[in-house]
Amino acid sequence: MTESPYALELRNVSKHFGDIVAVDGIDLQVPQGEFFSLLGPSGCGKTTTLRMIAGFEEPTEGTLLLAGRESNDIPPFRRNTNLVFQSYALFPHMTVFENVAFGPRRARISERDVHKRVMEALETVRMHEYVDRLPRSLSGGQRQRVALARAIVNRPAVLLLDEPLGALDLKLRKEMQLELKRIQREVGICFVYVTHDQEEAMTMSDRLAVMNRGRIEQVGSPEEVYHRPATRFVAEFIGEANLLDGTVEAVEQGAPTRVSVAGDTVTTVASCAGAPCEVGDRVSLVLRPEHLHLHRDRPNGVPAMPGRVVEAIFQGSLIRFVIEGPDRRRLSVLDTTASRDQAAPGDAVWVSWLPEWVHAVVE
Amino acid sequence: MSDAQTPAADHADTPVLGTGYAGKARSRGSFSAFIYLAGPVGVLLLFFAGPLGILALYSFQERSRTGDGSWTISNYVNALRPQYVETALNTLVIAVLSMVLLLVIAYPLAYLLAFKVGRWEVPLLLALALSDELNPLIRIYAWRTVLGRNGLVNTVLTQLRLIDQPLDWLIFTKFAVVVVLTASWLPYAVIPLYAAMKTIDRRVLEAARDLGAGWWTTFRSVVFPLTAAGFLATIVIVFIPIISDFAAPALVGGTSGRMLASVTEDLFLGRGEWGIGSALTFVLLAASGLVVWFSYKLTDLSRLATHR
Repeated sequence: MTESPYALELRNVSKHFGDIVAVDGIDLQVPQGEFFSLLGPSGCGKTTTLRMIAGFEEPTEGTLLLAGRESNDIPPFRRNTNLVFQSYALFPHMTVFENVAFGPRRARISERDVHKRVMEALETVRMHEYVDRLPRSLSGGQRQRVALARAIVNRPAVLLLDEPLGALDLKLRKEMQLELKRIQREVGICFVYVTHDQEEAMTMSDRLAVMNRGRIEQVGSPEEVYHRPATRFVAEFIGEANLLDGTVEAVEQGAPTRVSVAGDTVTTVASCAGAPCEVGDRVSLVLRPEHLHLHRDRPNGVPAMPGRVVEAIFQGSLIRFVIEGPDRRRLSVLDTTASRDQAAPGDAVWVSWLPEWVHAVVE
Repeated sequence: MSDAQTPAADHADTPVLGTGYAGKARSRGSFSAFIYLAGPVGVLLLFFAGPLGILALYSFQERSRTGDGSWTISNYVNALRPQYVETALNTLVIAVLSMVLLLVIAYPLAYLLAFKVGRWEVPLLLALALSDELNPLIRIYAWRTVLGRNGLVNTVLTQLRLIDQPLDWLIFTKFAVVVVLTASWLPYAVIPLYAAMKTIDRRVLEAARDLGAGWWTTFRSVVFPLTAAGFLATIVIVFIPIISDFAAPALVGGTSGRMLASVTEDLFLGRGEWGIGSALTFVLLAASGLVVWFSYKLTDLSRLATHR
């Protein structure tokens, strides 16, 4: 068998349930050892994709490769993947030890080796002091750790996680995000993580795929997806974005050098990650709130737009301004609270941005 | 790191049998509990324990019909006569065979109903319940027309030229009794198992498959332990009526399909031998008790089975 650089590969994979197309021809390549996230709103097909990788659903079309080997027809119990369920799905009648030992015991290895591997896995998730407890006597976070140990103990080629932190409270979720990242680095297994929480995906992933309506909208590192969204959907789904509709007036190497927005009152240059732009294209400019700046007077040398402060919301280290621009368009601006001279509601201001932070997506 | 969540308040994975009610009843006061229970317990004492006690007295008396005999254990000694021992063994074989067959059929059926049939779940459950609405005697007569010498099975097989002579072991044999008992008690075996299956999270079964378990391992180490309560309930509900059935052996059993209950009936109503009849009744009761106890041990052991 040839060694593949990819732990997981999907080639034009679709899944239909009757007339419903849950996954619509997706292509994906996930290298060994990567923390990869499938991110999208509920119903976007991310869980179906995960279940196809695990073997619980068979693709209607396309090819699924695990470590370079075509795996469409391999049943879940023969697949080198393990799934961590959202509801944990621990065996309620077995102790923590027995739960984790379930997988290794299916492989034909001695009970001594089983014991060694189980204890190793439980130490990795820091649950080795709970070996004899039953799942019902554990807290949600502890059950989550046991579920994780039960999966990593098998050393799968790909570890699949289906919104595993969904049932935990916020504080615990934040802790577990860092824990998961640590564990993934420690065991070096490729993680495929399904979530609808963009912040969670950003925190942990090496790369992520944003899914919508059964298709992949963009694949990239968290930075790429945030700063250079390929579509309007990605721009709106990842983080907070001000979207300004405009028309491309000049182009150089596919990137617009002049876009007019707000009824030709402002022009700016922009980068473009999706399809190359052409003159006359309708585009949306993506402006992140932290990339916008407020001025009392019109600034020189940078694109700027006049407006009026509607609200100023104090958020601790940051302050958020809601600005009403021309055409009653509202912009969100984030600024640090370090400066003394803050605008107040009712003030007339100018909103500016640095051209290098502006990104255009074609409508 | 602190996992400060409260454990398990939201999880319904505690065992089903016998939890949680004792405390509530106590707090409400034992008097009302007494009132609630007085009726049913009174009826049981008067019409069940009472007659059973009288039977116990009969079984230890020489001439039990009039009750003037002296105390003796000869009835139990007589119950060990070869003809009764043979019938007792016959009874055990038929009852255990039917019970095993019932479980082998009922387990997959309950599994399919609980997890696989989707929107057909309720209609199929209703059909199962309806199939039990037929009068038991009519059901047995219906089986006679199916299994009889000129019955459905023989006719079809002869017409298809698969056999020359009608099969003579279809009716008035152990086989016939086992078939009729199994068919009659199927709903009672499926429903407790189905109810127990419904408490299993579907994802737990998927987890077992995901972790490398085929269907047999999944059944042995996950499904069976988690349905142990239903398994026990099925045996208690089904085995006792089966082992003490007298209609099926009388109507389709012939001589080789005789069971202890029909012999007991004959001893009481036909030959007036109330003493031996009573003794045999207690033998039957003891056998049922033993099987139920054994099943209980089996379900208990299943909790340990995964330790290996």
